[in-house]
Amino acid sequence: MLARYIIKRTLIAIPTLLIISFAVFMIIELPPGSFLDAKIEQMQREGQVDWAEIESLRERYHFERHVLIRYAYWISDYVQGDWGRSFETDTEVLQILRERLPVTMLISIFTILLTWSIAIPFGVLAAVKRNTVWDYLLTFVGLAAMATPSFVIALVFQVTMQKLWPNFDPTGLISPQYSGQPWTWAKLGDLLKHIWVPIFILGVAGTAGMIRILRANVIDELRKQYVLAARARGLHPALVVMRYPVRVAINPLVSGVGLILPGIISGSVIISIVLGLPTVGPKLIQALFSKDTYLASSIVFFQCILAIVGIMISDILLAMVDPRIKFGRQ
Amino acid sequence: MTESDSYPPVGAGPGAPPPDFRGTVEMDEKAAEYYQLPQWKLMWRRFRKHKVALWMLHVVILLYVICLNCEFLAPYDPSAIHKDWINLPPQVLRFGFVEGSSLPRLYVYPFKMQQDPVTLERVYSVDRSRRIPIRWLVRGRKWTALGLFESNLHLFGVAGSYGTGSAAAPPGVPASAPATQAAASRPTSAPTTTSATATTPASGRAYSAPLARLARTERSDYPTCFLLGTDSLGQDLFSRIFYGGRISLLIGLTGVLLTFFLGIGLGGISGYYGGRIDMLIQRVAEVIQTVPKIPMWLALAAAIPKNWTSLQVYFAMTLILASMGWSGLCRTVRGKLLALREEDYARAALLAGASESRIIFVHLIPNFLSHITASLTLSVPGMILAETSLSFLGLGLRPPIVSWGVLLQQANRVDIVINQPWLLLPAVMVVIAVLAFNFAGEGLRDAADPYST
Repeated sequence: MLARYIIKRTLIAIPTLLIISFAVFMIIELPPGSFLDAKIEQMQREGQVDWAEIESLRERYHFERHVLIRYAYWISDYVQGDWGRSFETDTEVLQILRERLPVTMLISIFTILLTWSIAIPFGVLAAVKRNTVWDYLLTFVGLAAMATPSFVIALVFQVTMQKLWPNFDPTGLISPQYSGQPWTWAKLGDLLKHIWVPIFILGVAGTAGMIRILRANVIDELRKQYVLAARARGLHPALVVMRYPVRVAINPLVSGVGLILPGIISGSVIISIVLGLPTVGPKLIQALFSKDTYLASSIVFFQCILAIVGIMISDILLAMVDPRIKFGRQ
Repeated sequence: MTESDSYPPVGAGPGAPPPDFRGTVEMDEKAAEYYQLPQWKLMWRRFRKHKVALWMLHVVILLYVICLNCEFLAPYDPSAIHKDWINLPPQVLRFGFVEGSSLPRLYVYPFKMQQDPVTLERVYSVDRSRRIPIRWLVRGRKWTALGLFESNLHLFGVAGSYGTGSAAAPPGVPASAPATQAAASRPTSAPTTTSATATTPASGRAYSAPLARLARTERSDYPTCFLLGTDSLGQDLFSRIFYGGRISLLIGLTGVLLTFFLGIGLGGISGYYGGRIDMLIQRVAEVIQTVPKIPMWLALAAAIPKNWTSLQVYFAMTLILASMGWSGLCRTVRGKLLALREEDYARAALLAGASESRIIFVHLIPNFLSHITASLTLSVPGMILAETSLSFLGLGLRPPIVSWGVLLQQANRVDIVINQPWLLLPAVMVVIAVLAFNFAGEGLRDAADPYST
């Protein structure tokens, strides 16, 4: 049943993905002027134009061909596992991703774990102590954190760090003396010394929203009759909450794991830029700015694929944790 | 709501329980009135009970009023460059006695600037020997609102400061004359001559030309009131926050309105007609919903041509924000319509000869309009934050257009924030606006839900 369901969903996803890939490529190709024009201009500014190089670039990336043909080249290579090369650095897109993905995913996964471990207890607390000082305080802090743009949180945090701890540089992930060095324990220690900064900042931003969701979910559950029944049976109040309503309330979080998937690989673009992190996000922005078509569309499309896979995982998880939902029924 | 009531459940708000009229034939007048109120009035009654939300709604309205009247409220032109006052710290507003005035009034201290001869670094120090009184309703730089309304009145300013160029003064009239008139009602003997008129006699008409902008910069010995400091070009941050607020708040609103029309229009068609057109719209909505928002926003924003005018960029941004937002609303509207079109009153309207669009938009949509209003109010902050973040990255609005995001772009490095912390002040406005919208939106949502307790 499950296998059939997955196959069916995958088959439905293929045309959707084709449409999305086309849209992504077209949007990125939309602005006038190509990378080549910019390159020639840059060379002119620097003195001389290396026409042989331009010609070889033009040849290799089919710049003279129609955009539809370039799309066809790109997508057919893409599905075969060749994601093209970055115009700018002439490295393979996959190579760039290979360099940046592990760190990005490390940050994202730890952020999610931190978010949950803060949000779940506090969300439950806010729900149980509804309309008390606790609730209002958490609500206010949560809403204020949600209202603050994440880059402002990052900037303020950096400034505070500089004031409190002037020797510590919160930007980057690895101190300059370790960059390019092979992995050693000292380098790992250095990474750990830096990595908590983005995790903390991203966690603060994410926790706030999640506390709100969890609070609403738990409150909805607390109203139900079975809670009253459990209380009437004389169950310990804490047990009443923890054993049933919380389990139901975190269901959407567990099944929502899939929806986070595309975000895991990009990390937070803005915070990465402010903190100067070597994640995928800043590379994407750079590629968008310089019209590095293959790099940009490959990253964006990869995220779209992950989004669709993520939704599928969510649906499967939802059906697994909630026996009321059955596979294959609309 | 758990016990079985025999009266119909017509959205009894908390604190205003409908009187129990079981067994009685006539109800008292108040109850009758209550039951006859239209839905939106009931909603408003419930909303008013929510004190925080009510206050926050006032904050939202106040923000819009401020930002729509920024020409009048801002003392300076947002693009006027004061090259002698670059990166000036805020001139804190104080209250006390000023010479020549018998009553205490608001004033600011001027700054003294010393330039390091070697590094050319500017060092500002507060000059406590003089006090610059704040004047109310000063005449100054001329402004036009919406291209219709023209004036040169500003809510406040200081003598001379308003003269961001004699571009303001009508030809032939010295700028000091109206200022004297405005200040005539106040007991003051402060000099009303302006250095502005002295330095820029020739910048009469070419208002937006770069030359005029240069010409409008002034000597450093004139009194200033940069309440929130200036940026790296010597532009008044206080004025720029007002002007920026207009763009940031309106982009949220127009984005949401566009979302609203797209969502309701397409959702309405999809839900009412069904069939092939429904299939098509729903597939498109699904694709948009599955695509991750942030990279698509980035890609679309990067696709805005560099040579577009500010206005074009602005509308492109609105379109980008709305294009990724309408799908959710479209699906909600469709779902509701699918259920509602089977109701008896929809049939009745059809039999009475109402047109299909009338049934959709007059009979069916008002059923859940309150929900839509609430959810749209809640989606304004998202748009404001998205605009701020995109502009911060340099992908959204671009100078010379002023928005909160564009202003924050200046504070994109830690060393800048450490040296000029006031450049982060636009973020405070973002937080206030978003908080106010969130609270008001949550209040509206609770009020729109007839089953909320």
